[in-house]
Order: sequence, then structure tokens, then C-alpha cells
Amino acid sequence: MHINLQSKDRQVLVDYPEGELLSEVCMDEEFFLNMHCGGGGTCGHCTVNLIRGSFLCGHKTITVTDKPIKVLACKTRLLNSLETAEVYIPSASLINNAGKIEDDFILPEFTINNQITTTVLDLPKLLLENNICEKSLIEQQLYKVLGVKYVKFPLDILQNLSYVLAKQNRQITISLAMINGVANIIDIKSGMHTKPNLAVAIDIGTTTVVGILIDLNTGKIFAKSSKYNQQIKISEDISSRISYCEDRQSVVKLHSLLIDKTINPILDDLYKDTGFEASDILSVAVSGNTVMTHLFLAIDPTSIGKIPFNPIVRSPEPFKANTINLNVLGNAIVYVMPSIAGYIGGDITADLYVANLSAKSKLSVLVDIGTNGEMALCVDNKIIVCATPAGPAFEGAGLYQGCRASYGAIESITINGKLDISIQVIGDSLANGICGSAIIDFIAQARKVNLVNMQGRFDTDMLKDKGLYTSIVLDDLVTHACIIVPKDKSGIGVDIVVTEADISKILQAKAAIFSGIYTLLQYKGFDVFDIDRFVLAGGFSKHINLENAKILGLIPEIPNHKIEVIGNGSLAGAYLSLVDADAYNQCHNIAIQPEVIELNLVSDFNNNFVEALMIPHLDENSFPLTFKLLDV
Amino acid sequence: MNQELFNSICKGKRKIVIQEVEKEIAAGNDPVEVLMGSMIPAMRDIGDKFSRNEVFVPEMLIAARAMQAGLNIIEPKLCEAGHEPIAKVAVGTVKGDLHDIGKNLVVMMLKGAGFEVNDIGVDCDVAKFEQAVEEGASLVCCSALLTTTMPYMKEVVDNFANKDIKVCIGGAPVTQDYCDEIGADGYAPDASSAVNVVTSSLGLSA
Repeated sequence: MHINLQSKDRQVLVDYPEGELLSEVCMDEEFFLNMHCGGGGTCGHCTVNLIRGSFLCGHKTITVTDKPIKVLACKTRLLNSLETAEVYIPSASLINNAGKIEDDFILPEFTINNQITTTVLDLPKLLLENNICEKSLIEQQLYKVLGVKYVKFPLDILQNLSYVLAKQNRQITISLAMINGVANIIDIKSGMHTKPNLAVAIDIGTTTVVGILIDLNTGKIFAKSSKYNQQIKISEDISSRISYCEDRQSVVKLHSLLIDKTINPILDDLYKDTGFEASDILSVAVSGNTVMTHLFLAIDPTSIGKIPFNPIVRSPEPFKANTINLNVLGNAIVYVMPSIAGYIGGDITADLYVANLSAKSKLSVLVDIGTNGEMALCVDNKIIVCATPAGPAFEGAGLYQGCRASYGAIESITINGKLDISIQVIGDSLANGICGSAIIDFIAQARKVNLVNMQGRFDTDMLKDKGLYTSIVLDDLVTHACIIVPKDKSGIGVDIVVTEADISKILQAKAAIFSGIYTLLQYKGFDVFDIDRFVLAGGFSKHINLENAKILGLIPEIPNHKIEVIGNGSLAGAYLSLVDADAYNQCHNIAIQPEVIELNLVSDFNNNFVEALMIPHLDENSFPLTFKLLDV
Repeated sequence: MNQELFNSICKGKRKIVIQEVEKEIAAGNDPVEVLMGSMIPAMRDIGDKFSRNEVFVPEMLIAARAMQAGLNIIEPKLCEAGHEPIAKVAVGTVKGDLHDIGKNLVVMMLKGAGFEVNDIGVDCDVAKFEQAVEEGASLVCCSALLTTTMPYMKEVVDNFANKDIKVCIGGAPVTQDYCDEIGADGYAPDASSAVNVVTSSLGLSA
């Protein structure tokens, strides 16, 4: 049957059989729906409007005649009818699938010391009087040249060996990886090969996956590529991905979306950009949160979703790439960054290593701002970590006109004393929406000129005087809003606004981060002003205006010279674990050190959270400079 | 009515709330009158404003905290005065889940509406809900923030299915459909509407 799918900027006419689930149809046609609950019909985020046609909603048959009907796409099936069915997908139900990718990172000092060696061997001929096999001969040669005693040969290399030896008069190029003192043969080619030893480092985010192709011997980065994690077809956040994993089949499906639909296409891009081939990649390192590394390995992550939140594995052994169908050399070694706990992943281990948190200062704090905020405190060489669910508001999700930091997004906002608002947009484009960094700017600047009060409410008289006032109707409720870009200057034909409901969501997100930091410090008997070194991690951190973040109350009032922004520490960690064997070992040492605390079980957390809901905070002693600046 | 007390609950001014409640008690005023006359109307006002989008979660949480500070002082006095609550209810976050900010808000709104609330905390199994019922609750409220822990609500509902105990549910992933599916007695999309849902589930008039 025919169905016409339409969103704000796209329309397709397609054919699907009766009984097909509407959410599946949308996903297949690349209308990526928000499915927080994994299609369970519980979150209400995949609402679509039925314009025409017949549908089966739950057990009820619906035929749309005049008025459009709102339904959940994940609970609605197509029914045959003579006319073409029509469905409208509102922007609020869609995941913005075009992004500027946060792949910037900084690296600490490191030495090139990788585990992969490639060497050329000229094998002597076997003689009748020596009872020896080709494998032993190669082992002897490797001992002579490299001093390695223990060697492991994968079966497929032995299966090919006779042909490889025959080709170039027994000259071979052999690549091996040292793992715990054992030389694992990765590749044997005939003749002499001069290609560099190549590897790929991958950061697996819940939302975004980034890969870089590197030269193991020089550390040079040849190419970068990134893609949205295609698991978002199933759901947006970690907890609903966990709940999707109700059986083996669903784990395998998420695994396949990550490998076949996300990582392998990224690898293809890297090969296209550089002219290298899959068979040139000798090793791979991945870093990500614990649920992502489980799904990368096709391991069931459900135990992470319930008390006591324990994962199946924190530190997987290196393994061969062909066991999970990665599009690299089959025997390439895959390293996984070790996790700390169920909700504290390898990405945080990497952050801790890259920031070298346990050195330099008396009291250091690291914060990774993402959908899940993670924070670590280090004092006397002891690390304590915790996680706090900030929600996706900083990534623009859930805000009235929020968007990711992509082309057309407003990325920064300033407001002067006369209430003139100026904006900066990513790319040469009209504004389409507001991303996380800009909404932080807006709230802080608006607070500074008293356009919003401590509770995050607008001074509507001020807005009206300046012609900035508008109201937005959401679910039949009216909320005040400030016009950032009027409709005649915006790229979407309507005013771009910030609503009071948006501010309230940002306040809850920032309160989760700040109270997490505060509670962690309090737990060890410290105050925010005791911090000697404050490290901000996560791709988003590179784009935050620190002054505005302090006025908002997202981060404590720490002088800028004590703040370091390291960006995507997770990718940096994956990179380092490839080029520097010591880094990889150190990460394993780091991962087992931290004490993990559950914020919800610390009695003061709730109270700290509530106090942090104000701009900047309910308690002026926590933000003396901002209170002075705001003169309240 | 004590306007200052009313206002400071609405604005979340905890210290002033404590001051005002102490003043009332010291003056020998009826604690029931203080609760019913000033404090409950303040929470009702906040709840109404919340349902009209005039107040958002941050302000509601701050008001609830101020209310709690006042209740801490007045609750023992109410007991002494032999004040009878509308009904006794128990509220808890279900097994496997540690989230309690939303649950705490529901507790406060229910207290603010005159219920006696037994807050049984987080990670509550059926036995914990059972115990609360033994202690006098005629209705239990289950909260869950995670889709992974939400299914436990069905076990609570099933446990009380053949008993004269009502079960109401709420939390971010919960919906009316889910409520119907597992046969719970009521679903509240937010803390403010929890009061109405609990009231009508118990067959009381609002």
C-alpha cells in the first residue's frame, strides 16, 4: 500500500505491506524518531499525526476522515485502504541527524611505543636432514631478529602460508602484536612491504561515533570520520537501549547497528579519504561508556540497568577483529578501553589518563559533560567518581527549538545592556535552532541584565518593552518566551525563541552537574573553593563559554587559570592506547583505582540538587563573585 | 491565614518558613489551623500554577523543600493535637531504581494536600510495600525513572490485585497506556496531578 511520509523539510511516497509498524517504516525511510523507551509505547516521544488513511492503533482501528489524529508511531500499524495514507512527523518527534562532530582533543606528552611490529624475513629453505616445520622456522627467525620467545599463529595464516611462501622466494613481511609477552601473528605477506603500520582509534558515544586512522610508528593522524551511532534508530538514551535488550536477538541487533551500520561505514570513509585498505589496518582501539563497549562486543548490558548496576565485563582482553566482523584485517587486534563501573565507562578512564588527574595538584576535579555527567575527584592520589543523569538538554534535545551543534545552529549568544541580542551561527547559514552552548550563554547573559530572575523566569515587561516577547503554546499550556531571531530572519520561517520551559530544563541539567561536583567534594570534606585544578572533558566542553557557565552555575567559580578543557578525552585515550603501550597499561591501572559512589545514596545530594536549581545557586556563599556581579 | 508563611512556601524561602511556623506555635495557635489555613493552600497554589505552566519543576522543588522544613516542626504538634489525616498512603521508588527526586516531590504534594504519607524510600520490593500497608496505608504509589525498572510496578500491582489496596504509578517513562496494561488504579503524569489521582482512586472528593 502507498504511504506518504512528511516532515518539515522532507517528503517521501513509499510502498509498504499492511501490518507494518509505522515507527519501522519511518526509520527505514530515515525519519529518525525519538524513541526513548525503545518502542515500548511508554515515553510518548514518537508522536506522529495521521492525516489520511486507515491504521491499527494498539487494538483499535482508526480511519482518519477530517481532523488529523495524534498517535504513537511505535504502537501503530498500517492497514490497507484504497487511498494513499498520509502521515506527518513533527520536528519534535525527530532526532536531528546532521551534526558537527566533536572530535577535537588535546594530548598529554607521550612516547611512541606501540605493540605492533612489522619485519621482513628471508626464510632459508627447509632441508631433508632437519626435522622442522615452516611454523617453527618462522619462530626461530623471529627469536633471532626480535628476541620473541612465544608466538601464536592464527589458523587462517597457516592455511595460507604455503602460497605466501611460494610467491616471493620465501621472503615475507610479518606483522605481529605483543600481548603479555606473546607475539600474536597478525599478518604474513609475501615479499617486502613498505606501507606504514596503520591502526584506527574509535570513540563510541551514545549519540556520536568518531574514528581516526593513524600511523602507529609516527602517531600521525591521516584522516577522521564520524557518524551518528545508528542505534539511535532504536532509541536515544542509554537506559532505553538497555531496556531494548530483552533477548539475545535484540542485543545482536544493536551490536549490528553499531558495527555494520556505523563503524564499518566510518572505516570505509577513512579508506576512501586515504587510499589505504581494510587489510592495512593492524590494530583498533575503542573507548566508550560501559553499555556501548558491551554492545560493541555483543554482550548483554541489561545488568547495568538495575541495582547493583554491575556490568558483565569491565576490562575485556584484546581480541581478533574478525570475531565481530569489523572491516579491518581479520587478525587485527582490537583493544577496548577498560571501564570503571556500570555507569562509569572507559571514556572516563581515558579522560582520567589524558588529564593525568592523579598528578600535579593537591585537589583536582574532572567533569565530563554529556547526557550522563560523570565527575571524578582526586586527592592524595585517590580517585572518587560518580555519575549524574543530566539529560540531553545540553545537546539541544528536549528544548523547544533546541538542536545539536550542527550547520545552522546558533552556537553563541550575547546580550548587551540595551537588550540587543547578537548571535553566532555555525556555517554560512540562517539560524535553524539553538544548541547547548548558546542556551548557556543566553541564560547567563539574560540573568546579568535581569531579563530573567534567579528562578529562571522572564521579566515579561522588559521583554515586551523591547519587542522580544512572545508566548508559545505547548500541550495546551502557554509559556512565556524570548525571541532570539525573528521569523523573517530565521531559516525555519518561525521565530527562534527560548521558552521558560527550556530554561527550567537547562536549570535541572546544570543542577545535576553542579550538585554532583558539590556532593563529591562534600563527601570528602571539601568545598568548591578548595579545587586546585578543574578539568572539563567531553566534546561539548570545547564550546562552552566558561564565564557564562559560571554565571549559570553549571561550574564552580574557579579562576580560569585553574581550568583546563581537554575535549574528547575518550578518543584521545583510544589513540594513545594504540601508539603507546604504556598508556594502555596505565589505563588498566587507573580503571581499578577509583572508589565509585552512588549519588542518590548520599543523603545531601537531593538538597544540593535543589539548591543548585537557582541561577547561579540558592546559596550566595557558593557563588560570591556572581552574586556580587548580579548585585542581588 | 498567615500570608507571610503562605508566600514564603510559594517562594521557597525555607528559613522564613521555619521562623513563621515557630512563631505560630509559640503564639499557641492551633497547628491544624496553621497547616490547613496557610501551608496546604500554599502547596495547592504551587500545584495549580504548575499545571498551568506558571511554575516549573525547579521552583516546585524549592517550594517543596521549604514546605518540608515547616512540616518537620508542625508534624509532631499535629500528632499531639490528635489531627486525623484524610488517608494514609505509602510512596516508594520500585526495586532496582534509586531515583527519588520526583518521588520526593509527590510525597510533598500529598502531604501538602493533607494526606499522611509513609515515604518508604528507594529500591522498594513488594515486601516493603506490603509492610507499609500493614502499617496502615490504604494506597501505595510506585515511582520509576528507568525503563529497566518500570516493569517491577506490575509485580506490585499483581501483589495487591485481590486486596482492598489501591496502587497508583508515575515516573518519567510511565504512561496511561502502561497503567491500563498492568491494571494499576491510577497514573499521574506529574507530582501536581498525583494529588487528584490519589484522591479519586480512594473515592474521596477533591
